[in-house]
Amino acid sequence: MTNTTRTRTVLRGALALLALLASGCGSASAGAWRETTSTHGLRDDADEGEEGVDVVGPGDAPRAEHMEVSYSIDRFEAQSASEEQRSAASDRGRTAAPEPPPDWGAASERATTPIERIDRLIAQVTPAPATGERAGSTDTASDALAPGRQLLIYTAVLNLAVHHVEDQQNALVAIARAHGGFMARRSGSEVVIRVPAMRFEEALAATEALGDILGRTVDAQDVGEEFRDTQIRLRNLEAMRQRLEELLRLADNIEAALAVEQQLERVTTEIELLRGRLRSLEDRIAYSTITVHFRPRPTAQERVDEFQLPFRWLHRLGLPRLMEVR
Amino acid sequence: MSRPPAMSLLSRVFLCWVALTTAGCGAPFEMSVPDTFVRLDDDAQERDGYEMRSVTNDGVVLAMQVIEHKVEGSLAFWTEAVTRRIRDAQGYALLGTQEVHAATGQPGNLVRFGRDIRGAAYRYTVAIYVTADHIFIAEAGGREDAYVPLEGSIEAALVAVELE
Repeated sequence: MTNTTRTRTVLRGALALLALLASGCGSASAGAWRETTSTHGLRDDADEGEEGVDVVGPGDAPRAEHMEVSYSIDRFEAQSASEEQRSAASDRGRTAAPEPPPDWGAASERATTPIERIDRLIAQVTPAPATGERAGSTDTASDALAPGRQLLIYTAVLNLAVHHVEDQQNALVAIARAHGGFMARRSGSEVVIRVPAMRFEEALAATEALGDILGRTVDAQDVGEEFRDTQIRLRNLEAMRQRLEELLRLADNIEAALAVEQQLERVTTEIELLRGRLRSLEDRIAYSTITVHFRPRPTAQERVDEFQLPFRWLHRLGLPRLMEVR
Repeated sequence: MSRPPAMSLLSRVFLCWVALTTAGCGAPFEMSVPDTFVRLDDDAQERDGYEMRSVTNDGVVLAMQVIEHKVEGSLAFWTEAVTRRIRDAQGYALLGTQEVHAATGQPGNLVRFGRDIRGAAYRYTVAIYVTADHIFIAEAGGREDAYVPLEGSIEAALVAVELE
């Protein structure tokens, strides 16, 4: 192939890719993405439940490389700590630094392949089947990718009475540790603990036994669909980045190289964003969050909705007035 | 010139009438306070809405509020109203509820609470009695370290109240 022909081929490829990028392939929702890819003759076998099959064209990278971006777990501390620190900054009370999650780094090292990593995550968050039920079946990465598979984020917010707060906060931290979790934030009126999802209910029961519960909200949010969509978008962007890199290597003039580099930068940024999103989801799925407030009413909204009996003498009850003697 | 004996007699009759009338307007309860408490000036306490208030040297307070029972409600209703007000709205921990009877036989409820104030633990106990004419709220509270040693005598005083 002559240089001219080669350059034309490279540019044609670059232009085709640019057109593809401009059509919003990388940033559209999963539904929109499927429509776009079918137009360009790409396929998404992952949507059909096949493990590790990616949407790429000729010259696909090996499957394991694509999976890897989705399940890197060795990120937890920095991301979690930064989120918690942002929240803590707004808290005016005394704030303690979050503890690192136990065993996470070691576990991450043990998981050598992406598939192992997601299997480990699923095993962590999936309750064991009852005896005789689903005997011999094993949850795998393909199960997690299968449409309809639930990936739940458990959160609980408890409102505890304001009595022996210091002791109860210490007890909460002990509960977190005893259940394989850690303290994420601690301030004068609030403690946030994270516990492995498998032990969420156990830890919640122990927390509720600490004192007088004035309010309780427990939430299970299914992020399975979001998780799968993000994975698919990430894999496609990874494939696209590989092809852009290939085009960059082949580019033999500055103009073509700059055009490809510009798109490469955009795709890389999107990949990092999606990776961050997946890491955040993984973290929240694997570790449930229990927030305990030591105050009567946590929000202004609740004060507005609160019913008050129209007897003024009731408002005169309590220690401050009783103890103000003259 | 000395005062005629007839005036002296009238004066005595008037004084007796005043004494009898004011006796009928007195507090509709009798409450003995433990020896460790001193009873504060009643007039000053009434201005603050208390029929009686007494204190220890450590700041533990024992008091009585009497509310006119205009809106008829059961003991259970008023106990729930008080408990919700203290617990839900003010964040006190409900430590326990106990059915009691006043010395004069009226049923009541003793409700125990706990609360931290500026980092220190406090205790607060309310005895609620309801009669046809009044709601009696007997309260006691103070820093936990000062309150707990007196808890027995405080609760005995809250229960030994005589109601009209």
